[in-house]
Amino acid sequence: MSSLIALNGRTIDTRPTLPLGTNANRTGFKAMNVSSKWPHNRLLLALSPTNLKRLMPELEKLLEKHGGQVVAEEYVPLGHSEFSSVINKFRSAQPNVIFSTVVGDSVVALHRQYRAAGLDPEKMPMASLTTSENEIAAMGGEAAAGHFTSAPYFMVHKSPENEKFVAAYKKRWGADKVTHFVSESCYFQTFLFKQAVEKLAVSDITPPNIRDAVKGAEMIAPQGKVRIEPANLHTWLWPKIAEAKSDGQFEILVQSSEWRKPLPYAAYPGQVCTEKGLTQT
Amino acid sequence: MDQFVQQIVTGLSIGSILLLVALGLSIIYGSMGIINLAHGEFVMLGAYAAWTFQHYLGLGLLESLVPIFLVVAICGWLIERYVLSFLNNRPLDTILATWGVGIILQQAVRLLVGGELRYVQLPDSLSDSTELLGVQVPVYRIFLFFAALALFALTWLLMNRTMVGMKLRAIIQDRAIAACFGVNARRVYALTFAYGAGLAGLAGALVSPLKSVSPEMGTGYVVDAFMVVVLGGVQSLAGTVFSSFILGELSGGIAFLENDTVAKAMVLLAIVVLIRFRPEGLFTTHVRA
Repeated sequence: MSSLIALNGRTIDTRPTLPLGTNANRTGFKAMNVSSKWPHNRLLLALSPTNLKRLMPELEKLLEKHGGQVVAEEYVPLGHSEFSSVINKFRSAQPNVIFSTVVGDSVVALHRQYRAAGLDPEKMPMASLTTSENEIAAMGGEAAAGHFTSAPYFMVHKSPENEKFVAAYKKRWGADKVTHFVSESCYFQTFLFKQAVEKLAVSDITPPNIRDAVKGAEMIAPQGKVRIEPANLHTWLWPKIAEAKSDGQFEILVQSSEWRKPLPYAAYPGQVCTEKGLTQT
Repeated sequence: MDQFVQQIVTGLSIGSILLLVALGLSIIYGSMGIINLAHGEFVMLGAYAAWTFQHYLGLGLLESLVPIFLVVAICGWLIERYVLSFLNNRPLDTILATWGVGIILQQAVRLLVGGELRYVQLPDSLSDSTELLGVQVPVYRIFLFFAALALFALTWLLMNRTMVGMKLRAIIQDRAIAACFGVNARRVYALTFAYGAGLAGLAGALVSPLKSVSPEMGTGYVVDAFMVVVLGGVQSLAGTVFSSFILGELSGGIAFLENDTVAKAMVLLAIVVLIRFRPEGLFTTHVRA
Protein backbone atom coordinates (compact mmCIF):
# COMPACT_ATOMS: atom_id res chain seq x y z
CA MET A 1 0.00 0.00 0.00
CA SER A 2 1.31 3.44 -0.74
CA SER A 3 2.53 5.56 2.14
CA LEU A 4 -0.34 7.95 1.59
CA ILE A 5 -2.67 5.69 3.47
CA ALA A 6 -3.16 6.16 7.17
CA LEU A 7 -5.68 4.20 9.18
CA ASN A 8 -8.08 1.68 7.77
CA GLY A 9 -6.74 1.76 4.27
CA ARG A 10 -8.37 5.04 3.31
CA THR A 11 -6.38 7.79 1.64
CA ILE A 12 -6.53 10.84 3.83
CA ASP A 13 -4.71 13.37 1.71
CA THR A 14 -2.02 13.42 -0.89
CA ARG A 15 0.65 15.30 1.00
CA PRO A 16 3.22 12.99 2.53
CA THR A 17 1.76 11.95 5.85
CA LEU A 18 2.88 9.68 8.63
CA PRO A 19 1.06 6.41 8.34
CA LEU A 20 0.81 5.13 11.86
CA GLY A 21 -2.22 2.93 11.79
CA THR A 22 -2.63 -0.51 10.38
CA ASN A 23 -1.10 -1.11 7.03
CA ALA A 24 -3.43 -3.05 4.81
CA ASN A 25 -0.79 -5.29 3.38
CA ARG A 26 0.58 -6.45 6.71
CA THR A 27 -2.75 -7.18 8.31
CA GLY A 28 -4.26 -8.36 5.03
CA PHE A 29 -1.49 -10.80 4.26
CA LYS A 30 -1.44 -12.07 7.81
CA ALA A 31 -5.15 -12.72 7.45
CA MET A 32 -4.45 -14.66 4.27
CA ASN A 33 -1.83 -16.79 5.99
CA VAL A 34 -4.15 -17.78 8.78
CA SER A 35 -7.09 -18.48 6.54
CA SER A 36 -4.92 -20.88 4.58
CA LYS A 37 -4.53 -22.97 7.71
CA TRP A 38 -8.22 -23.80 7.69
CA PRO A 39 -9.32 -26.69 5.49
CA HIS A 40 -10.99 -24.14 3.28
CA ASN A 41 -10.10 -22.80 -0.07
CA ARG A 42 -12.92 -20.74 -1.52
CA LEU A 43 -12.83 -17.05 -0.84
CA LEU A 44 -15.33 -14.38 -1.67
CA LEU A 45 -14.25 -10.80 -1.37
CA ALA A 46 -16.70 -8.08 -0.37
CA LEU A 47 -14.94 -4.81 -0.92
CA SER A 48 -15.45 -1.10 -0.68
CA PRO A 49 -13.91 0.80 -3.59
CA THR A 50 -10.82 2.05 -1.86
CA ASN A 51 -7.24 1.62 -3.01
CA LEU A 52 -7.60 -2.02 -2.03
CA LYS A 53 -8.88 -2.81 -5.50
CA ARG A 54 -5.30 -2.50 -6.67
CA LEU A 55 -4.29 -5.07 -4.07
CA MET A 56 -6.34 -7.73 -5.85
CA PRO A 57 -3.68 -9.37 -8.05
CA GLU A 58 -1.36 -9.72 -5.06
CA LEU A 59 -4.11 -11.20 -2.91
CA GLU A 60 -4.96 -13.70 -5.61
CA LYS A 61 -1.33 -14.77 -5.97
CA LEU A 62 -0.97 -15.21 -2.23
CA LEU A 63 -4.15 -17.22 -2.08
CA GLU A 64 -3.06 -19.49 -4.92
CA LYS A 65 0.20 -20.15 -3.10
CA HIS A 66 -1.83 -21.51 -0.18
CA GLY A 67 -4.18 -23.52 -2.32
CA GLY A 68 -7.16 -21.19 -2.35
CA GLN A 69 -9.10 -19.40 -5.03
CA VAL A 70 -11.15 -16.28 -5.32
CA VAL A 71 -14.68 -17.26 -6.34
CA ALA A 72 -16.15 -13.79 -6.60
CA GLU A 73 -15.48 -10.12 -6.02
CA GLU A 74 -18.13 -7.68 -5.01
CA TYR A 75 -17.83 -3.91 -4.80
CA VAL A 76 -20.21 -1.65 -2.93
CA PRO A 77 -20.24 2.16 -2.71
CA LEU A 78 -18.64 3.67 0.37
CA GLY A 79 -21.22 4.09 3.11
CA HIS A 80 -23.65 1.69 1.43
CA SER A 81 -26.03 -0.02 3.82
CA GLU A 82 -28.30 -2.24 1.71
CA PHE A 83 -26.62 -5.63 1.45
CA SER A 84 -29.42 -7.94 0.42
CA SER A 85 -27.99 -8.44 -3.08
CA VAL A 86 -24.53 -9.10 -1.68
CA ILE A 87 -25.97 -11.65 0.74
CA ASN A 88 -27.80 -13.35 -2.12
CA LYS A 89 -24.43 -13.66 -3.81
CA PHE A 90 -22.93 -15.16 -0.64
CA ARG A 91 -25.68 -17.76 -0.76
CA SER A 92 -25.22 -18.61 -4.39
CA ALA A 93 -21.40 -18.63 -4.41
CA GLN A 94 -21.06 -20.53 -1.10
CA PRO A 95 -17.48 -19.49 -0.30
CA ASN A 96 -15.64 -20.85 2.71
CA VAL A 97 -14.50 -17.41 3.79
CA ILE A 98 -15.65 -13.91 3.00
CA PHE A 99 -12.89 -11.31 3.04
CA SER A 100 -14.54 -7.98 3.63
CA THR A 101 -13.03 -4.51 3.53
CA VAL A 102 -16.19 -2.47 3.99
CA VAL A 103 -15.77 0.26 6.60
CA GLY A 104 -17.76 2.08 9.22
CA ASP A 105 -21.56 2.03 8.95
CA SER A 106 -21.38 -0.54 6.21
CA VAL A 107 -19.69 -3.06 8.52
CA VAL A 108 -22.55 -2.82 10.98
CA ALA A 109 -25.19 -3.08 8.26
CA LEU A 110 -23.44 -6.03 6.58
CA HIS A 111 -23.10 -8.04 9.78
CA ARG A 112 -26.65 -7.36 10.91
CA GLN A 113 -28.12 -8.31 7.58
CA TYR A 114 -25.87 -11.39 7.41
CA ARG A 115 -27.27 -12.48 10.76
CA ALA A 116 -30.88 -11.62 9.90
CA ALA A 117 -30.53 -13.71 6.74
CA GLY A 118 -29.71 -16.73 8.89
CA LEU A 119 -26.22 -17.33 7.49
CA ASP A 120 -23.83 -19.27 9.71
CA PRO A 121 -20.42 -17.87 10.66
CA GLU A 122 -19.21 -21.43 11.38
CA LYS A 123 -19.49 -22.27 7.69
CA MET A 124 -18.99 -18.88 6.05
CA PRO A 125 -17.13 -16.56 8.39
CA MET A 126 -16.26 -13.02 7.44
CA ALA A 127 -12.64 -11.98 7.81
CA SER A 128 -11.95 -8.28 7.75
CA LEU A 129 -9.41 -5.61 8.58
CA THR A 130 -11.97 -3.06 9.66
CA THR A 131 -14.35 -4.65 12.16
CA SER A 132 -13.29 -3.35 15.54
CA GLU A 133 -14.72 -3.21 19.04
CA ASN A 134 -16.60 -0.05 18.06
CA GLU A 135 -18.46 -1.70 15.22
CA ILE A 136 -19.20 -4.73 17.38
CA ALA A 137 -20.76 -2.49 20.01
CA ALA A 138 -23.01 -1.04 17.33
CA MET A 139 -24.04 -4.32 15.74
CA GLY A 140 -24.66 -6.32 18.90
CA GLY A 141 -22.77 -9.39 20.10
CA GLU A 142 -25.02 -11.84 18.26
CA ALA A 143 -24.29 -10.38 14.85
CA ALA A 144 -20.58 -10.15 15.61
CA ALA A 145 -19.82 -13.55 17.07
CA GLY A 146 -17.79 -15.96 15.00
CA HIS A 147 -16.23 -13.51 12.56
CA PHE A 148 -12.56 -12.66 12.35
CA THR A 149 -10.52 -9.48 12.32
CA SER A 150 -6.85 -8.84 11.72
CA ALA A 151 -5.41 -5.77 13.43
CA PRO A 152 -2.33 -4.82 15.44
CA TYR A 153 -4.32 -4.04 18.56
CA PHE A 154 -7.31 -5.45 20.40
CA MET A 155 -8.76 -4.18 23.63
CA VAL A 156 -8.19 -7.52 25.37
CA HIS A 157 -4.46 -7.50 24.68
CA LYS A 158 -2.59 -8.21 27.92
CA SER A 159 0.15 -5.76 28.70
CA PRO A 160 0.74 -3.22 31.48
CA GLU A 161 0.60 -0.32 29.02
CA ASN A 162 -2.70 -1.51 27.61
CA GLU A 163 -4.24 -1.86 31.05
CA LYS A 164 -3.23 1.67 31.89
CA PHE A 165 -4.51 2.92 28.53
CA VAL A 166 -7.90 1.20 28.78
CA ALA A 167 -8.40 2.30 32.39
CA ALA A 168 -7.55 5.90 31.57
CA TYR A 169 -9.75 5.84 28.46
CA LYS A 170 -12.73 4.53 30.38
CA LYS A 171 -12.20 7.03 33.16
CA ARG A 172 -12.16 9.88 30.67
CA TRP A 173 -14.95 8.81 28.34
CA GLY A 174 -17.18 6.49 30.34
CA ALA A 175 -17.10 2.92 31.57
CA ASP A 176 -19.08 1.62 28.61
CA LYS A 177 -16.62 2.88 25.99
CA VAL A 178 -14.25 0.59 24.10
CA THR A 179 -10.78 1.11 22.72
CA HIS A 180 -9.84 -0.18 19.30
CA PHE A 181 -6.96 -0.16 16.87
CA VAL A 182 -7.84 3.30 15.65
CA SER A 183 -7.99 4.93 19.07
CA GLU A 184 -4.83 3.11 20.14
CA SER A 185 -2.84 4.32 17.16
CA CYS A 186 -4.15 7.87 17.65
CA TYR A 187 -2.94 7.60 21.22
CA PHE A 188 0.60 6.50 20.51
CA GLN A 189 1.07 8.69 17.47
CA THR A 190 0.41 11.75 19.61
CA PHE A 191 3.29 10.75 21.85
CA LEU A 192 5.57 10.06 18.89
CA PHE A 193 4.67 13.49 17.52
CA LYS A 194 5.61 14.95 20.90
CA GLN A 195 8.95 13.14 20.78
CA ALA A 196 9.66 14.55 17.34
CA VAL A 197 8.73 18.12 18.21
CA GLU A 198 10.79 18.03 21.41
CA LYS A 199 13.90 17.38 19.30
CA LEU A 200 13.45 20.63 17.37
CA ALA A 201 14.21 24.22 18.29
CA VAL A 202 11.10 26.35 18.45
CA SER A 203 11.97 28.26 15.30
CA ASP A 204 12.44 25.01 13.34
CA ILE A 205 8.99 23.55 13.91
CA THR A 206 7.71 23.01 10.38
CA PRO A 207 6.03 19.91 8.92
CA PRO A 208 9.04 18.72 6.89
CA ASN A 209 11.29 19.05 9.96
CA ILE A 210 8.84 17.20 12.16
CA ARG A 211 8.69 14.46 9.56
CA ASP A 212 12.45 14.11 9.61
CA ALA A 213 12.62 14.26 13.39
CA VAL A 214 10.15 11.44 13.85
CA LYS A 215 12.25 8.95 11.89
CA GLY A 216 13.34 6.21 14.25
CA ALA A 217 11.15 7.41 17.12
CA GLU A 218 10.17 4.58 19.44
CA MET A 219 7.89 4.07 22.38
CA ILE A 220 6.04 1.33 24.25
CA ALA A 221 2.48 1.62 22.97
CA PRO A 222 -0.47 -0.33 24.39
CA GLN A 223 0.12 -2.99 21.73
CA GLY A 224 3.87 -3.22 22.43
CA LYS A 225 6.97 -1.41 21.30
CA VAL A 226 6.45 0.62 18.14
CA ARG A 227 8.92 2.46 15.96
CA ILE A 228 8.79 4.70 12.94
CA GLU A 229 10.84 3.12 10.15
CA PRO A 230 13.11 5.82 8.67
CA ALA A 231 13.04 4.35 5.17
CA ASN A 232 9.32 4.69 4.61
CA LEU A 233 7.84 6.47 7.64
CA HIS A 234 5.55 3.52 8.37
CA THR A 235 5.34 1.93 11.78
CA TRP A 236 6.70 -1.33 13.13
CA LEU A 237 3.60 -3.08 14.51
CA TRP A 238 2.49 -6.38 16.07
CA PRO A 239 -0.10 -8.01 13.78
CA LYS A 240 -2.72 -10.22 15.41
CA ILE A 241 -5.78 -12.16 14.32
CA ALA A 242 -8.78 -12.47 16.62
CA GLU A 243 -12.27 -13.87 16.64
CA ALA A 244 -15.18 -11.73 17.79
CA LYS A 245 -17.20 -12.98 20.73
CA SER A 246 -20.78 -12.29 21.66
CA ASP A 247 -19.77 -10.26 24.72
CA GLY A 248 -18.42 -7.52 22.46
CA GLN A 249 -14.73 -8.33 22.85
CA PHE A 250 -12.28 -10.35 20.80
CA GLU A 251 -10.38 -13.53 21.51
CA ILE A 252 -6.87 -13.30 20.09
CA LEU A 253 -6.09 -16.49 18.17
CA VAL A 254 -2.75 -15.79 16.54
CA GLN A 255 -0.25 -13.09 17.29
CA SER A 256 3.09 -12.19 15.90
CA SER A 257 5.94 -13.06 18.28
CA GLU A 258 7.99 -10.07 17.19
CA TRP A 259 7.30 -6.72 15.67
CA ARG A 260 7.05 -6.59 11.89
CA LYS A 261 8.95 -4.30 9.57
CA PRO A 262 6.55 -2.26 7.44
CA LEU A 263 6.70 -2.94 3.71
CA PRO A 264 4.24 -0.50 2.24
CA TYR A 265 4.89 -1.52 -1.35
CA ALA A 266 4.80 -5.27 -0.79
CA ALA A 267 1.78 -5.51 -3.07
CA TYR A 268 3.58 -3.84 -5.95
CA PRO A 269 6.44 -6.06 -7.11
CA GLY A 270 9.53 -4.17 -8.13
CA GLN A 271 8.89 -1.09 -6.03
CA VAL A 272 10.58 -0.27 -2.77
CA CYS A 273 10.14 2.77 -0.56
CA THR A 274 13.44 4.25 0.61
CA GLU A 275 14.42 7.45 2.34
CA LYS A 276 14.97 9.09 -1.00
CA GLY A 277 11.54 8.09 -2.26
CA LEU A 278 10.02 5.31 -4.27
CA THR A 279 12.57 3.37 -6.28
CA GLN A 280 12.20 0.65 -8.84
CA THR A 281 14.30 -2.46 -8.21
CA MET B 1 -35.55 -20.14 -11.07
CA ASP B 2 -34.66 -20.12 -7.40
CA GLN B 3 -32.37 -17.18 -7.90
CA PHE B 4 -35.01 -15.35 -9.89
CA VAL B 5 -37.53 -15.65 -7.07
CA GLN B 6 -34.84 -14.66 -4.57
CA GLN B 7 -34.17 -11.58 -6.68
CA ILE B 8 -37.85 -10.62 -6.81
CA VAL B 9 -38.12 -10.95 -3.05
CA THR B 10 -34.94 -8.92 -2.51
CA GLY B 11 -36.25 -6.21 -4.80
CA LEU B 12 -39.54 -6.09 -2.88
CA SER B 13 -37.61 -5.69 0.35
CA ILE B 14 -35.46 -2.85 -1.00
CA GLY B 15 -38.58 -1.27 -2.45
CA SER B 16 -40.44 -1.43 0.84
CA ILE B 17 -37.60 0.34 2.64
CA LEU B 18 -37.62 3.01 -0.09
CA LEU B 19 -41.38 3.38 0.32
CA LEU B 20 -41.09 3.78 4.08
CA VAL B 21 -38.57 6.55 3.72
CA ALA B 22 -40.20 8.28 0.77
CA LEU B 23 -43.77 8.32 2.05
CA GLY B 24 -43.21 11.23 4.42
CA LEU B 25 -41.42 13.19 1.73
CA SER B 26 -44.19 12.47 -0.74
CA ILE B 27 -46.70 14.06 1.60
CA ILE B 28 -44.56 17.08 2.32
CA TYR B 29 -43.32 17.70 -1.18
CA GLY B 30 -46.50 16.61 -2.88
CA SER B 31 -48.95 18.53 -0.82
CA MET B 32 -46.97 21.51 0.28
CA GLY B 33 -44.42 21.84 -2.48
CA ILE B 34 -41.72 22.13 0.17
CA ILE B 35 -38.40 20.62 -0.86
CA ASN B 36 -37.45 19.31 2.52
CA LEU B 37 -33.72 18.63 2.52
CA ALA B 38 -33.95 17.85 6.22
CA HIS B 39 -35.97 14.72 5.48
CA GLY B 40 -32.94 12.50 5.98
CA GLU B 41 -32.38 14.08 9.38
CA PHE B 42 -35.96 13.25 10.41
CA VAL B 43 -35.17 9.65 9.52
CA MET B 44 -32.03 9.92 11.63
CA LEU B 45 -33.98 11.42 14.54
CA GLY B 46 -36.37 8.49 14.43
CA ALA B 47 -33.48 6.04 14.60
CA TYR B 48 -31.92 7.90 17.53
CA ALA B 49 -35.31 8.06 19.25
CA ALA B 50 -35.50 4.27 18.94
CA TRP B 51 -32.03 3.98 20.46
CA THR B 52 -32.87 6.41 23.28
CA PHE B 53 -36.06 4.60 24.21
CA GLN B 54 -34.24 1.30 24.16
CA HIS B 55 -31.09 2.39 25.96
CA TYR B 56 -32.54 4.63 28.64
CA LEU B 57 -36.09 3.35 29.09
CA GLY B 58 -35.67 -0.27 28.13
CA LEU B 59 -38.53 -0.16 25.64
CA GLY B 60 -38.39 -2.55 22.73
CA LEU B 61 -38.65 -1.33 19.17
CA LEU B 62 -42.26 -2.29 18.57
CA GLU B 63 -43.55 -0.73 21.78
CA SER B 64 -41.76 2.52 21.14
CA LEU B 65 -43.04 3.08 17.57
CA VAL B 66 -45.93 5.36 18.60
CA PRO B 67 -43.81 7.51 20.96
CA ILE B 68 -41.16 7.77 18.24
CA PHE B 69 -43.76 8.97 15.76
CA LEU B 70 -44.95 11.59 18.24
CA VAL B 71 -41.46 12.79 19.12
CA VAL B 72 -40.36 13.30 15.54
CA ALA B 73 -43.75 14.75 14.55
CA ILE B 74 -43.42 17.34 17.28
CA CYS B 75 -39.93 18.23 15.98
CA GLY B 76 -41.41 18.59 12.52
CA TRP B 77 -44.25 20.74 13.82
CA LEU B 78 -41.81 23.06 15.59
CA ILE B 79 -39.68 23.44 12.48
CA GLU B 80 -42.69 24.19 10.33
CA ARG B 81 -44.15 26.66 12.80
CA TYR B 82 -40.98 28.60 13.57
CA VAL B 83 -39.00 28.38 10.34
CA LEU B 84 -41.02 27.35 7.32
CA SER B 85 -44.26 29.19 7.91
CA PHE B 86 -42.42 32.44 7.36
CA LEU B 87 -41.25 31.30 3.95
CA ASN B 88 -44.48 30.81 2.02
CA ASN B 89 -44.14 31.09 -1.74
CA ARG B 90 -40.38 31.29 -1.47
CA PRO B 91 -39.24 27.88 -2.65
CA LEU B 92 -35.55 28.70 -2.94
CA ASP B 93 -35.44 30.08 0.58
CA THR B 94 -37.26 27.00 1.79
CA ILE B 95 -34.61 24.76 0.26
CA LEU B 96 -31.88 26.73 1.99
CA ALA B 97 -33.76 26.80 5.27
CA THR B 98 -34.40 23.06 5.33
CA TRP B 99 -30.78 22.38 4.37
CA GLY B 100 -29.69 24.53 7.30
CA VAL B 101 -32.12 22.81 9.64
CA GLY B 102 -30.74 19.47 8.51
CA ILE B 103 -27.17 20.50 9.32
CA ILE B 104 -28.23 21.83 12.71
CA LEU B 105 -30.05 18.62 13.58
CA GLN B 106 -27.09 16.46 12.51
CA GLN B 107 -24.58 18.39 14.57
CA ALA B 108 -26.94 18.76 17.53
CA VAL B 109 -27.28 14.99 17.70
CA ARG B 110 -23.52 14.62 17.37
CA LEU B 111 -22.91 17.09 20.21
CA LEU B 112 -25.58 15.68 22.50
CA VAL B 113 -25.05 11.99 21.98
CA GLY B 114 -21.66 11.62 20.31
CA GLY B 115 -20.67 10.47 16.85
CA GLU B 116 -20.32 6.75 17.54
CA LEU B 117 -22.49 4.19 15.82
CA ARG B 118 -25.37 3.07 18.00
CA TYR B 119 -27.12 -0.26 18.44
CA VAL B 120 -30.88 -0.78 18.17
CA GLN B 121 -31.97 -4.29 18.97
CA LEU B 122 -33.99 -6.31 16.51
CA PRO B 123 -37.20 -7.49 18.23
CA ASP B 124 -36.66 -11.12 19.25
CA SER B 125 -39.88 -12.30 17.70
CA LEU B 126 -38.73 -11.05 14.30
CA SER B 127 -35.10 -12.00 14.32
CA ASP B 128 -35.15 -15.31 12.43
CA SER B 129 -35.15 -16.06 8.79
CA THR B 130 -37.86 -18.12 7.22
CA GLU B 131 -38.71 -19.75 3.93
CA LEU B 132 -41.07 -18.00 1.57
CA LEU B 133 -41.83 -19.26 -1.94
CA GLY B 134 -38.78 -21.47 -1.69
CA VAL B 135 -36.27 -18.81 -0.73
CA GLN B 136 -34.82 -17.76 2.59
CA VAL B 137 -36.04 -14.36 3.74
CA PRO B 138 -35.37 -12.63 7.04
CA VAL B 139 -38.64 -12.30 8.94
CA TYR B 140 -37.86 -8.69 9.73
CA ARG B 141 -37.79 -7.79 6.05
CA ILE B 142 -41.24 -9.32 5.62
CA PHE B 143 -42.37 -7.23 8.58
CA LEU B 144 -40.95 -4.09 6.96
CA PHE B 145 -42.81 -4.88 3.75
CA PHE B 146 -46.13 -5.07 5.54
CA ALA B 147 -45.31 -2.07 7.71
CA ALA B 148 -44.64 0.01 4.60
CA LEU B 149 -47.92 -1.03 3.01
CA ALA B 150 -49.79 -0.41 6.26
CA LEU B 151 -48.38 3.08 6.58
CA PHE B 152 -49.24 3.76 2.97
CA ALA B 153 -52.81 2.59 3.59
CA LEU B 154 -53.03 4.76 6.69
CA THR B 155 -51.77 7.77 4.78
CA TRP B 156 -54.18 7.19 1.94
CA LEU B 157 -57.07 6.95 4.38
CA LEU B 158 -55.99 10.14 6.09
CA MET B 159 -55.76 11.98 2.81
CA ASN B 160 -58.98 10.76 1.28
CA ARG B 161 -61.37 9.83 4.07
CA THR B 162 -60.88 12.39 6.82
CA MET B 163 -61.77 16.02 7.25
CA VAL B 164 -58.15 17.02 7.63
CA GLY B 165 -57.27 15.22 4.45
CA MET B 166 -60.05 16.93 2.58
CA LYS B 167 -58.91 20.31 3.84
CA LEU B 168 -55.39 19.49 2.73
CA ARG B 169 -56.57 18.53 -0.73
CA ALA B 170 -58.53 21.76 -0.91
CA ILE B 171 -55.47 23.78 0.04
CA ILE B 172 -53.37 21.96 -2.53
CA GLN B 173 -55.82 22.88 -5.24
CA ASP B 174 -56.11 26.52 -4.31
CA ARG B 175 -55.02 27.94 -1.01
CA ALA B 176 -56.77 31.29 -1.26
CA ILE B 177 -60.18 29.89 -2.18
CA ALA B 178 -59.86 27.22 0.51
CA ALA B 179 -59.16 29.97 3.02
CA CYS B 180 -62.34 31.69 1.84
CA PHE B 181 -64.17 28.52 2.74
CA GLY B 182 -62.88 28.74 6.29
CA VAL B 183 -59.97 26.33 6.08
CA ASN B 184 -57.16 27.30 8.43
CA ALA B 185 -54.27 26.78 6.02
CA ARG B 186 -51.56 27.47 8.55
CA ARG B 187 -52.84 24.81 10.92
CA VAL B 188 -53.30 22.23 8.16
CA TYR B 189 -49.80 22.85 6.80
CA ALA B 190 -48.31 22.47 10.26
CA LEU B 191 -50.14 19.21 10.86
CA THR B 192 -49.19 17.88 7.43
CA PHE B 193 -45.53 18.68 7.90
CA ALA B 194 -45.62 17.10 11.33
CA TYR B 195 -47.22 13.97 9.90
CA GLY B 196 -44.62 13.72 7.14
CA ALA B 197 -41.83 14.17 9.66
CA GLY B 198 -43.37 11.55 11.92
CA LEU B 199 -43.51 9.09 9.04
CA ALA B 200 -39.83 9.74 8.33
CA GLY B 201 -39.06 9.12 12.00
CA LEU B 202 -40.93 5.83 11.91
CA ALA B 203 -38.97 4.85 8.82
CA GLY B 204 -35.71 5.58 10.60
CA ALA B 205 -36.72 3.57 13.65
CA LEU B 206 -37.91 0.63 11.57
CA VAL B 207 -34.76 0.32 9.44
CA SER B 208 -32.32 0.95 12.29
CA PRO B 209 -32.03 -2.72 13.39
CA LEU B 210 -30.89 -3.69 9.91
CA LYS B 211 -28.57 -0.81 9.34
CA SER B 212 -26.60 1.34 11.72
CA VAL B 213 -27.41 4.49 13.62
CA SER B 214 -25.07 7.43 13.13
CA PRO B 215 -25.57 11.20 12.82
CA GLU B 216 -24.85 11.14 9.10
CA MET B 217 -27.15 8.27 8.20
CA GLY B 218 -29.77 10.64 6.81
CA THR B 219 -27.88 11.97 3.82
CA GLY B 220 -28.14 8.70 1.93
CA TYR B 221 -31.86 8.42 2.57
CA VAL B 222 -32.85 11.88 1.39
CA VAL B 223 -31.36 11.24 -2.05
CA ASP B 224 -33.22 7.95 -2.40
CA ALA B 225 -36.45 9.52 -1.17
CA PHE B 226 -36.31 12.32 -3.70
CA MET B 227 -35.58 9.86 -6.50
CA VAL B 228 -38.68 7.89 -5.57
CA VAL B 229 -40.94 10.92 -5.28
CA VAL B 230 -39.73 12.56 -8.49
CA LEU B 231 -40.05 9.36 -10.48
CA GLY B 232 -43.47 8.56 -9.11
CA GLY B 233 -44.91 11.93 -9.79
CA VAL B 234 -45.36 14.70 -7.29
CA GLN B 235 -48.73 14.77 -5.55
CA SER B 236 -49.39 11.13 -6.28
CA LEU B 237 -49.32 8.63 -3.42
CA ALA B 238 -49.89 5.73 -5.78
CA GLY B 239 -46.97 6.99 -7.84
CA THR B 240 -44.73 6.84 -4.79
CA VAL B 241 -45.67 3.22 -4.16
CA PHE B 242 -45.11 2.14 -7.73
CA SER B 243 -41.87 3.98 -8.17
CA SER B 244 -40.42 2.71 -4.90
CA PHE B 245 -41.04 -0.89 -5.94
CA ILE B 246 -39.84 -0.30 -9.48
CA LEU B 247 -36.64 1.26 -8.18
CA GLY B 248 -36.27 -1.47 -5.59
CA GLU B 249 -36.52 -4.25 -8.16
CA LEU B 250 -34.30 -2.37 -10.59
CA SER B 251 -31.49 -1.74 -8.12
CA GLY B 252 -31.78 -5.23 -6.67
CA GLY B 253 -31.69 -6.80 -10.10
CA ILE B 254 -28.77 -4.78 -11.41
CA ALA B 255 -26.90 -5.32 -8.14
CA PHE B 256 -27.28 -9.04 -8.60
CA LEU B 257 -26.19 -9.05 -12.23
CA GLU B 258 -23.36 -6.57 -11.70
CA ASN B 259 -22.73 -4.97 -8.33
CA ASP B 260 -24.22 -2.35 -6.06
CA THR B 261 -22.03 0.46 -7.31
CA VAL B 262 -23.11 -0.05 -10.93
CA ALA B 263 -26.71 -0.47 -9.78
CA LYS B 264 -26.75 2.89 -8.06
CA ALA B 265 -25.32 4.64 -11.11
CA MET B 266 -27.63 2.96 -13.60
CA VAL B 267 -30.76 3.58 -11.56
CA LEU B 268 -29.92 7.27 -11.35
CA LEU B 269 -29.29 7.32 -15.11
CA ALA B 270 -32.59 5.60 -15.78
CA ILE B 271 -34.44 8.18 -13.71
CA VAL B 272 -32.72 11.05 -15.47
CA VAL B 273 -33.66 9.62 -18.86
CA LEU B 274 -37.25 9.04 -17.83
CA ILE B 275 -37.63 12.52 -16.40
CA ARG B 276 -36.22 13.96 -19.60
CA PHE B 277 -39.00 12.39 -21.61
CA ARG B 278 -41.73 12.56 -19.00
CA PRO B 279 -40.94 15.40 -16.61
CA GLU B 280 -44.05 14.97 -14.54
CA GLY B 281 -43.09 11.45 -13.47
CA LEU B 282 -44.99 8.22 -13.85
CA PHE B 283 -48.34 9.25 -12.41
CA THR B 284 -49.75 12.70 -12.90
CA THR B 285 -52.66 14.44 -11.33
CA HIS B 286 -54.84 15.95 -13.99
CA VAL B 287 -55.31 19.68 -13.71
CA ARG B 288 -57.46 21.93 -15.77
CA ALA B 289 -55.13 23.76 -18.15
